Amino acid sequence: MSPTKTGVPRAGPGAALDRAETARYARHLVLPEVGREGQERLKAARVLLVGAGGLGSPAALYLAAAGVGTLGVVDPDVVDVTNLQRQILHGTSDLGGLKVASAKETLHDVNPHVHVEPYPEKLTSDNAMEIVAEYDVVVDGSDNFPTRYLVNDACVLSGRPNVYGSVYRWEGQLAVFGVEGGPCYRCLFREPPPPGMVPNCAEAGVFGALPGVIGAAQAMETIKLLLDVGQPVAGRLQIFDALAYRWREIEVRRDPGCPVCGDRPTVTAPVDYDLFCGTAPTATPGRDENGVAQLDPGDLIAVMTGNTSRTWDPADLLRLNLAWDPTDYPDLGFARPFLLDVREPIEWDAMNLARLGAVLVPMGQVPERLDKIPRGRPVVVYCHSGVRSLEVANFLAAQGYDEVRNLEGGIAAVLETNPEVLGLGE
Amino acid sequence: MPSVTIALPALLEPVTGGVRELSASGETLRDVFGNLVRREPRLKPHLFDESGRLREHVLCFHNGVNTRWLDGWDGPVAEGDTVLFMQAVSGG
Repeated sequence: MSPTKTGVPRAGPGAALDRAETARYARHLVLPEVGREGQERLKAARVLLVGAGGLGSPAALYLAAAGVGTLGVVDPDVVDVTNLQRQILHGTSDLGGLKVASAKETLHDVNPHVHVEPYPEKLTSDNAMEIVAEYDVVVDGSDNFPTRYLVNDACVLSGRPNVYGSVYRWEGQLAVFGVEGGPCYRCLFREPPPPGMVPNCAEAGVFGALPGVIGAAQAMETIKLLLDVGQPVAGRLQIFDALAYRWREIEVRRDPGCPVCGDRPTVTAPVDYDLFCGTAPTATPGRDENGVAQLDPGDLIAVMTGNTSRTWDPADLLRLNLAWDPTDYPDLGFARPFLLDVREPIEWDAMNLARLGAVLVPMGQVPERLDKIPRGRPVVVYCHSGVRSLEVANFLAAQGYDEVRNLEGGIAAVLETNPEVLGLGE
Repeated sequence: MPSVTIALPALLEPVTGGVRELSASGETLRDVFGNLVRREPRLKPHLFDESGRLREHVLCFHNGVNTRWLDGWDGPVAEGDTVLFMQAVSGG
């Protein structure tokens, strides 16, 4: 194989089209930029899709339909009903099943000539280099910052182009990184946002057809790279505003100081991306690496109401005593914590912990409303299930709040165990 | 004093009450940024860190030029210039 101008391996012999394939790809074969040679190149090509979700779905469908010979699909998740509004690889009958399984089935139906290699696992620092090395191009359709930095680094270190897309509410981003030694994702965003500052799609929502636009564009850019035609979206980032229907383009330059693709790289192998992004998972039960502890819903009710009939862990109580103002419950020696609800107003209206003194500051507004969150007093953060609030709790801890707790299981756990304290309908 | 049009990413819509485009005046970019956060103080922690630098996950373009490529923020701005903020998002 000889490299193309973008560094993508060129398909060698052994990819001749049979009669059925010649008929199937007729509309490609008449395009001068594709033709038989180009179509055979696609047949010999191998593309890795990281994520079989909103972006990975349309990208995979178009890549399969176009006749890309081998598609690797990495995704550890199972199909959830909330995925179906945009993740068009999966259907209602796939609920509860592995995404890579329904992806394989759907893609096989679209084009049985395509081989689909499922990876029902998370892309990690341990497996990324080995998996990426098997493919010519990587399509980043992941849904979190640690994976995006991992994909970037593995692509740069392996010399593979990274066809990047991301979406948020009504806005999408598209770029091709890592071609011709060009800029990489880290040249654009040296560091991820602080944990909790940028909500994900689950928290902020995403317009269903938006990843259709961006994912299809990722497929298009991938096919262009494989065919070595046109100009890739390299050295630039396309930003799509679906509400205004407007594409903006910004220039992206390689950063000579980039730790991965710069002149003196310091990242020469995948690193710990959860640590890098401040999203390290819980190190010990009930407490994460940033020192943010989980609070059991039963304990929350005890400390907010002064009812300590529940059995306390003495060490826990001692820790609380260190920082708590003893004036609120002089008999007990600790203060009521500030109870922070970081959900959206519509969720608050449905049910809340106002009876326990909760105050609503939606997650996206926390960074600029720190003045509403008192210092020198413990803060307990909650959301629906404890995921968003953990990010906010980490963020607050990073901002110097020294006694921050995350309500384990969120308000959903309180609903389960102590529904009487919920201000349902209030 | 020149007035500059400032475009914000969708992500910051909740911070500005749905406003995506606004204007701020100043002789230099530094003035413009200062006037912007005085007018919309809730934007400040999203765009700038505690030491006043642009956050690493935020990009700012003055007439299409990444402000990180500029030699500081003290160059002049002109009436009608555009400033675009954008930031990393991870949804997929």
